[in-house]
Formats: sequence, C-alpha cells, structure tokens
Amino acid sequence: MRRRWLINISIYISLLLLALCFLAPIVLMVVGSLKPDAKVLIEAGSLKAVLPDQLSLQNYSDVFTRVDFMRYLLNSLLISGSIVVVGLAVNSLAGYAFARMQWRGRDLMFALVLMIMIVPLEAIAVPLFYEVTLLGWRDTYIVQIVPFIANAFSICLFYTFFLGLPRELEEAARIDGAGVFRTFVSIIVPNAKPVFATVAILTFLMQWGAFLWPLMVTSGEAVRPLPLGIAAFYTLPPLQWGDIFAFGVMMVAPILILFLLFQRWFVRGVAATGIKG
Amino acid sequence: MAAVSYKNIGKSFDNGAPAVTDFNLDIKDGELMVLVGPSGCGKSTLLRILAGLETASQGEILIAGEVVNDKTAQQRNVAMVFQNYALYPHMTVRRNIEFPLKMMRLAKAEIKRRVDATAKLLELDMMLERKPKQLSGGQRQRVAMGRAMVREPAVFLMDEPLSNLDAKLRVQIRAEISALQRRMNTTTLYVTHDQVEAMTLGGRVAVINQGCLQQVADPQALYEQPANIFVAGFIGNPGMNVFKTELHSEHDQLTIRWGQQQLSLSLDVKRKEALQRYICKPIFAGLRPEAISCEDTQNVDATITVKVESIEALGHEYLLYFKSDVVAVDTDRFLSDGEITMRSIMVARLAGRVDAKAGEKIELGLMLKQLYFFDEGGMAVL
Repeated sequence: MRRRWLINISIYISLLLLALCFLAPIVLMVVGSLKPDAKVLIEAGSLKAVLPDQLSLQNYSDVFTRVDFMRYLLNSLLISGSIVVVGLAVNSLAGYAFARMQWRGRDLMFALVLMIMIVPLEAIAVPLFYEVTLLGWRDTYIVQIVPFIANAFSICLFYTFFLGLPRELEEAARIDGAGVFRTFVSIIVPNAKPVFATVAILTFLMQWGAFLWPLMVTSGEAVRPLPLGIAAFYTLPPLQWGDIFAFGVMMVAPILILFLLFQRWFVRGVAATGIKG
Repeated sequence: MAAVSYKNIGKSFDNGAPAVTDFNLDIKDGELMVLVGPSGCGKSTLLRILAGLETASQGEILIAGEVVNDKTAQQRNVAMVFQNYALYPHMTVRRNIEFPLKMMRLAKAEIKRRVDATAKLLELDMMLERKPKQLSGGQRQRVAMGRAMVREPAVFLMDEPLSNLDAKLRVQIRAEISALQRRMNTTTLYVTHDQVEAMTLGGRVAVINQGCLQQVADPQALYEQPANIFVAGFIGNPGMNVFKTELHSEHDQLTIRWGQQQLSLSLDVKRKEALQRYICKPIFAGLRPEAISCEDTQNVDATITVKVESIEALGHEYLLYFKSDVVAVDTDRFLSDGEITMRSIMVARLAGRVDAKAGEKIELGLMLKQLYFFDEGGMAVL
C-alpha cells in the first residue's frame, strides 16, 4: 500500500516537472510582458521572473505606438483565415475524389500527393519565389495565400476520414437522386465535422506562425503578418524585451482562444483521423 | 410499377473472376421476387446492377421494357433498402424521408403531404423529429422503408433488410414487408441468404449459386421439385440428404443399394420409365430429413440401422444426426470445384421423442416413395 503511494507521488512529481518545462516559457512571456521594460532581463534569473513586485500595461501600449499592431493582426487574420476557408473546400474535395471516385491515374496522383508531404517549404522557396515574381504577385496578400491552399497533409487527413465513412450512405444518396457534388455537400460534409475542425485548426496554427515565406515575398508593413511584426522590434532600437513579450502574448492569444473554443471537436477529430503526436 | 428483366447479365470482379454468369430472369409487374443463395453467390451484385450502383460487364437490364444499362440510379426510378439501412445520421426522420423528394424538386406542400402519409402508414408519425440514433433497430428499418416508399418508385430493391434485427422482430417485420408489398403492388426484388425468409415472404424465389441461376419457382415447387442437387440441399431446413448409389432392376422391380442392403422401390410408371436409362449406373438419390422416421408407420418402405452422432431437441421436433453405410454428398459444394465433396453425416427430422444417445445404434424407417434422383451432373431426374 505504502509502496503504491510512493510510486504515485513520484509519478505526479515527474509530471509536474514536465509540465513546468513546457509552461515556463509561456509564463515567463506573460509575466515579462507585464513588467517594466528595464526589469525584464535583470530579474530573469530570480524568482521575481515569475512573481513580479510591480505590474504595468505600459508594454502593451508601447506595442501599439511603436508598430501598427492592428495592421499586422488583420493581415494575419485575413491570410490565415483565407487559407483555412479556401483550403477546407479544396482539400476536402480532393480527399473525397481520392477516397471515393474512380478516375484514370488516381493512384499515381495520390502517390504524388503523398510525396509532396515530405518536401519542406524551404526546399522549394527559391523557385517558388521566382514563380510568384514572374506572376507579379510580390507584396500582395495573394502571394501569401495561394501557395498554401492545397495542402498534402490536409488531403491525407480528409482521405483517411472519408475512407472510413460507410459507402452505403453515398449509394443511398445516389439512388435518392443526388449527384456527386450534392452528395458531398449534403451527406458527406455534415458527417465529417470532426475532420473539418481538425484540419482547420492545424492549418490555422501552421499559417499563423508563417515567417520565412512572408519575409521573402513582402517588403512593406502593409501586407505583412504578425510574425514579421514581432521581428520588426529587433531592428527597431532600442531593443525592448517587454514590448516583444507583450506582442508575443497578443499574437498567441487568438490561437489559444480558437483552441479552447474548438477543443472538443479537435480532440474528436484527432481520434477519428488517427493522427498522433 | 414495372416489369424487370435480366437478359444474359454477366459481371466480373476486378481480378477477372466471374461474379455473375449469363443470368436471365423475368420479374412480372407488381411481383415480389426473392433472390436467395449462400454468401458470395452474386445475389447482392445482381441487385446492385439493377440499382445502377454497379455496371454489368455484359447483357441488358430492362425496366418496364426499356433498356436501362446507361441510365443513372435516379433515372431508373428504383428505391433501395440497405442491409444497414444507410439512414443519413445527421438528418431527422422527416429529413431522411423527404430527401429523395427534395432531389426530385417536388413542391414543398407535396413533399409534406407525401412524408406525412408515409410516416402514418409506417407508424413513424410520432418520431419524425428524431435522429436515427435515437431509434430502435426496427424503427430504423421502417424509416429506411419509408425513404424508399415515399418516392413511389417503379421497383423496390431490398438487400437483406432484416439481417440486423433480432429473430423475433425479423418475423414481425417480414410479415409487414410482405403485407406492404401486396398493398402497394410495387415490383420488388428482395435479396436474402436465409432460405426460411425466402420461403415465407410469399413471392417467387430465385435460387442462385456461384453467380448462376439454379431455379426459379414458388416456394412449394422449390421444395417439392428441386431442379438440382444444390437446390435440394439449400431449400429445406435442414436440407435434403443426397447420397451416391446404384440403381438395379430385378424382375421389373427397381432397387437401390444402401450399403450392403438392396432396397426395393415402389415407384409409379412414369418415374420408373425415367429411371430406366440409369440402371446399373451410378446415380445420386436424395431423401428429405422429413422422409426418415423412427416409428414403423405405414409409409415406411425400408428400415436401416444407423449410428447416432448427435441429437438436437427443438421442442416440437428432434433432429437426429447419424452415420450410415452410404456416403452423403456435400450439397452446398456439389461440383463447385469440379468434384464431389463428401460428408459422412446425414440428418433425420423426427416428430417423436428419441431416447438414443450418441454412439448408439438404432433403426430408422425410410419413406422411399419420397426419394429424389439426380444424374451425375446433379440435375434432377423426373
């Protein structure tokens, strides 16, 4: 009995330590954003890093005066939002076509899609850059949206989910007189909410933090997203960590809210599509 | 309402193996036709070909005299009830039933009128606002029926609609389907693997095995005059005992060999004549379990000694499994691989109580007037 108790205690202690490791950066960021700028680095090594004696919102107001935060935020929302919405439509239709429709070359195409998954953006960034330059798309929203709409990973998630839906549902709809598109919209989509939620959240997360590509293809503040906004602080003397933390908090907050709102769907979607980790 | 015809229908699987070969069947307008056969015999494929869910590799499908091979499922005006019902889980009962009508772009008032009428007929009117998962198996089954009926289709297709229900409910809904079909007088194709279900629905029955039509007839004719060994073994519960024997003639008296015994047959003139050319040749003989008795009644023409294997008491009757001097044929697999598979156990269906134990020897009476004969190819000899 006593032994069991000891095992439990040690498990909880290790879990607590692990949780601390993961939470510490976020806590430090939030606390740091609320401290006077001068104290952020000085107190970083002491207990005061997490228990400040003086709180202020000065850093937050600094963010708004030093850079056009609202512009960055709206840009990010527009870009990530568009990619999510259009991406859901495109990738779900593609996943459905791969999972359920018969067409010549389907398996070859699907193999190609799978292969695209392992090509990182960094590997094709330069040729892609030439391409969009030729198209005259630089410094626009489009250049930050279009290349990321079709997504091999999302297609695979949809594909796996649709494969698991009972085929009879579609056959019943066909006999009832629904065409392929109508079947997709009226029968498949309503029964695939979990996978739509999962793909939406994953895509949004991925795009919200996009840095390299926007840096390459944009030059002005007008169309740049949040990650480039935070980077602007490094080139905007004096270097104020409090402001950077405040910016960081405001950048992470929408994602946290989104996750909390859709948590139920997200967890179900992860279970249903069999993604792990 | 419409007549349906399968004309020389063939269908192969992707790997080239035949699923259905040269299938011909005519279903009359308003008729209930049951397709029955063991799992994998091609009966569901035939139904799906008619529905337009699969295409035939060869042959023609006719609905109301019109070739429909190139028509879509909707254009064929057929409705189907699936084995797992395939109700749309996100829609209420009302929305499930009205879905096909919406696809037909009917007026709202007409849709409502038809849905309400169908729901009333199927006693679903109290649960129109529920979702399928809030319904019992039987209720779901009725919603699936409703969704098919509400369109007033030319042909109803039912793919094992009762197999997800428990035994008691199955009997009840089977009767309901049969009554409903007579009332609506819509041509219906009903697929099942359960021969009892096939026999009790009341329509003609088409027995299918390995993608080939074996026999079409009403249930009684299938039982009394099976066209071949497969039908003889498949229809009836348990099926017919078929065994290999030899026919002999002594002083104008036909006999068959049962182990060491020669059993005399008293047959009418017509059957005697039909059997003449099989004398001294191997032949298959079949005896229904009902034609074997443990009491010495006047119908019994011969007695044999058998070794009891097991006894199943069913309350009102007993099934006695026994081994005898003859070797029984596995009717399910007769000529399926080009050769005959044997099984050593035969079965008798006895009305009276049997006080024997496994391993004991007892005497059984055979009603040889009820003997069936099949030639070496398995076809019935009159």
